[in-house]
Amino acid sequence: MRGINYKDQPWFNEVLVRREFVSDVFLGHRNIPHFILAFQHENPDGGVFYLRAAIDMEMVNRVFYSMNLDLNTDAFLINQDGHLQSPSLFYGDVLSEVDLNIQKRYRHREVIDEYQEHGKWITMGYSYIENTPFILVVIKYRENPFLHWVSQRTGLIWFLVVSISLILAVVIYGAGHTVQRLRELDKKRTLMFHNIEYTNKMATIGRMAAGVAHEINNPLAIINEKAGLLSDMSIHTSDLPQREKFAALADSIINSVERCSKVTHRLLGFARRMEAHKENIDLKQLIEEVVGFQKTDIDHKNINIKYNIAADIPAIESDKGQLQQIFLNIINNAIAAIDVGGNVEITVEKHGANKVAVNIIDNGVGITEENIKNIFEPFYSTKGEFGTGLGLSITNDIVQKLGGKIEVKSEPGEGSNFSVILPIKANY
Amino acid sequence: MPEFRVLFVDDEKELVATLIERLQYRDIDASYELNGASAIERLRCEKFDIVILDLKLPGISGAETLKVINKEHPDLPVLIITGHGSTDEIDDMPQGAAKCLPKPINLDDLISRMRSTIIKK
Repeated sequence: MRGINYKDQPWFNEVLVRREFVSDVFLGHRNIPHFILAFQHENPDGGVFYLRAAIDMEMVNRVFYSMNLDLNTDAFLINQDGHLQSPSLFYGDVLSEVDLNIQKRYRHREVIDEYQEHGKWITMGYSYIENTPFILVVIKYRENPFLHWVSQRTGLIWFLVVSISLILAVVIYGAGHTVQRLRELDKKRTLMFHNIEYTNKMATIGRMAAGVAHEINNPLAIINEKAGLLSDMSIHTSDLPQREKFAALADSIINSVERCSKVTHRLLGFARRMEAHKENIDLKQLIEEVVGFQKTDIDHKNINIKYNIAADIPAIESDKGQLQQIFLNIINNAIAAIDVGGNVEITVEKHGANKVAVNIIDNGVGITEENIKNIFEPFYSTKGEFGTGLGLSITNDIVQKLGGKIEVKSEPGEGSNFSVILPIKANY
Repeated sequence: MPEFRVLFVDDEKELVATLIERLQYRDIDASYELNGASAIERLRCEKFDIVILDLKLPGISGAETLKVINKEHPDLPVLIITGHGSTDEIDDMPQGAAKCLPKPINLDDLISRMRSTIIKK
């Protein structure tokens, strides 16, 4: 250093003017970053000397190291040309150029939030250091402050979606359920009305029937007696021409009266208040008896009756007369459905724990699907002018009053199966 | 000698007139009255073994007539006939009627009933 003329050195000129000088960082000997510190000192006795020192940046760097900054924080010095004066964590080594948003017009301090490309927010604070070419820059990466918000937002949106879905689900389910219940209640109500209407209709028919039956029974009685008298006369008058024919005619009239009488009595039976009795009944015996009543028709049509009665059938508690009526009607129908030479099978079996089922199966004409729906309606007849249409409806009524029910299965052209299901213990 | 005497009380003339004729063939003496009042009168004048009474009568009802008959002739049996079909269901069975018969009448039934009722007496 001795004997060198520094006259043209910039630092010298600076210090001449300003009496002090701090240089930018440069790579000094051995390529270690240094900066020059120089100042002028006036001796008390008038002399002037100039002190120049080359300061290893390491001294300054140590200050930065001692700050123990975290990995999101960078502090360094930069000069006004944008060259790093100290090593930067984010921007590289000393003297590399960095493009930072630093106002170059005047010396000041500022804190800036700005967004950098690497997707992170940085907060940058810088300060011009007085009397030096340095600017102290502190940069902190921040988590995207809106990141939380964004993730929250996503979470919030999900929450909303789920909530809305839930609400919608509840509303739809609730509404659907309510509508369903309303429909059911409506159906129930309609059914109830229907039943009431039906009961009313039945009651009216009942009253009407009673009236009709009564009206008919009287003239029927007259016809009966007159025919009976004709019969008596034919017996007691020996010289009556065509006596046998006379008697036969009278008998025929009486038979017809008998048939009418049955109808009116059934009608009245349907109409009156029924008081069903209770007694223990052997079904096998009762059915055989009832079949016996119809012996004439059965023989005449050459129908084969087959019984299939389970061994474990107990005696059931019911009303004998009503049961007779029921089976009389159904077996009669079965016979009527057969033209000639068919079969009627009668089975009795247990139906569940406390019921028995009596099945009357014929291989007659069968019942069409349309008719099945209506056969238990009063006055619904498939026999044209020969049917009263009351048999099955009355039978059904009786069965129900005895606590049972009738089921029908039929195949047109193949036959029908009437199933009468009755409780073993009377529940009426 | 007729087996017994029976009085029919019924407003159906054709019916009772024929019944009487038929009963004559069977050696049973039968008469008829068409209403309750005249029947009561007749019973006061003539003797009968049994009365066959229809509940439906013009004027005083069959039930009323029955009451009077029972009062005036306590030993006289009365059988009820009715157009109401089966006999069991008559709700208010008039007091004092022994039995009930439906119309149309089965004459043999009627006769055997009458016999058994009279014999019981």
